[in-house]
Amino acid sequence: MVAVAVWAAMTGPVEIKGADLLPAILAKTGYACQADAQAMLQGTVLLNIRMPRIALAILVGAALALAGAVLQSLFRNPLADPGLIGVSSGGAFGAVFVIVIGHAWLPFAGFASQWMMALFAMGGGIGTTFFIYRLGLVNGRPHMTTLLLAGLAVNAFVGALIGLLIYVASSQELRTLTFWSLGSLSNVSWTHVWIACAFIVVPMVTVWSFVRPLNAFLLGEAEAFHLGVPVTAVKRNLIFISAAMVGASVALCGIIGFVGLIVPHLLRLLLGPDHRFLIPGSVLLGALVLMLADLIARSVVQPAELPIGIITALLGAPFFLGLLWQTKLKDFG
Amino acid sequence: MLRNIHYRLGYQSILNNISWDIEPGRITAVVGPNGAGKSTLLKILSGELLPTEGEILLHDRPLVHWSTVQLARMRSVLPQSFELSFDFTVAEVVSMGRMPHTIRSQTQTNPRICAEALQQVGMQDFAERLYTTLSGGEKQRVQLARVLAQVWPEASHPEPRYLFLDEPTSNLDLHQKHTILSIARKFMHNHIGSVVVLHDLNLALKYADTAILINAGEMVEAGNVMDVLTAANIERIFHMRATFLDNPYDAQRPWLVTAPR
Repeated sequence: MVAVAVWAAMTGPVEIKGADLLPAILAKTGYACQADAQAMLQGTVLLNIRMPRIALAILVGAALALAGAVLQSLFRNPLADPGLIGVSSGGAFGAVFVIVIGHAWLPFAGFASQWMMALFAMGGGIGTTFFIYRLGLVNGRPHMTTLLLAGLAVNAFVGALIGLLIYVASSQELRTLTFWSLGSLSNVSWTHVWIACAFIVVPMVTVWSFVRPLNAFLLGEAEAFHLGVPVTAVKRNLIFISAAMVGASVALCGIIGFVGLIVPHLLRLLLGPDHRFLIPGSVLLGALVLMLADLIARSVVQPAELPIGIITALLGAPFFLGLLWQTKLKDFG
Repeated sequence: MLRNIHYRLGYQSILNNISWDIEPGRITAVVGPNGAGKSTLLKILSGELLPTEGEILLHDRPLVHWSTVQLARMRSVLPQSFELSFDFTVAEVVSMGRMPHTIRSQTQTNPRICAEALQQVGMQDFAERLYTTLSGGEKQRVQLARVLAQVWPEASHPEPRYLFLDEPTSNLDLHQKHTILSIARKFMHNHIGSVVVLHDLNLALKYADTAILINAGEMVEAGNVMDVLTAANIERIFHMRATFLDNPYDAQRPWLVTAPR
């Protein structure tokens, strides 16, 4: 992972060789005695553009994979992904709302509108999750099948609302929102990273305390209760922890699909279902995968870049199919 | 201890005025026709469902006043149907039974208890096998080992423990049925109280000490198993002709023979 991070730091429109990495950082931070212009440029690119971007890729990748792992276990459904509880669609609605209608009503432009978008996406995501969670309560307890169906219905409804907004959007707005919906890690600053830290790292640490209850959940909900797990509280906390992590990711870099679905899957095949390995594994592999995807996204069509969502799906889907094929051969062949 | 338990769903009464004491070291069979409320009764006992009226006392304290973890340390439940599609090993499944005890037990205790529980059900050679690759009977024995491990007697924590089994013998062959219930019977010697939902009345007669016969949510009779499962009661509740024959293999427990009316 460190190697990929270093490699990612070296790749880009401004070429930086491995040997130049350290002098460049030193020059920029003022520790080098004689800094030349080249080293200063490289230092700026490294510290202000590439490193925050790499840091955010690590955080977002880890968050998406972890939320996927948690939700798959909670729903005991290997097809569950963060989209199910409405974070993605709600977040998308918030962002599209700002893109299409926001600038007409809200006196924000340029930099501020970026912030508005992040805020609305986050609010839309968590708000939608809350709404679905409330719909899924039966006798005050979250009922997973009801939650799943409520999620489907609300997602479809929010999707229609987004469709309406798209219908009234101008072509410039359309372009912005298409790119947003495909996900991107461009224009990342350290501020983004700090926000991500608050909304991703804190929930991520709390997930660790749920490792044993999550294992019990795989036995079944009643069984988890018999084993002393306070089922209702655990479900509620984990759903909102996931929503916070995914909401922050969607707000900062748009919708990045497939990472949350595939990474936990892959790890279950490799490490088994025990969450003591699955949880840290998802964090590490999710970070690694998104860092690599971002590296590819910004280096294949230099100096332009591809939306990262295209890369994760384009490479993730065939890889996943290959994996399925192999398990099929092993089990039935 | 159950006191005047009522359970209603909407306007429909599922259980009506049921009272019973569960005694340590004894097996109580819950018998009755399909839909009589046997599983509901077990769910109320385990704290999964709250009774609409009445209360359950555990150590003279209402069940609702115990925390989920405290309850889990004193009673374990073997559910009726069981699906686990994730690839855990047998040892991992059994070790989940010790989950409520992880905080207070010493680190060596839990693995030792899990190994002993596997031994008790005769599955010690399967510890590293994947649960999903086992046969139905083997899976049931592993699940039994898990719930036994959960209430395994510990000298350092002498509080009474309870074992609830919901139709533990359904879908099992003749030999496996007896294996499961013999294991449970043997385990009761550790001063553990048990409630077992059973359909096979001869199994109830053979393995239970006491029985509760319920029909349409009402308690018909409760007490010594031989006094509850009489020919008259069976004819009345199950609408079958019933008679007892001498059992050549067990002089104390006669054999129940039934035929449709």
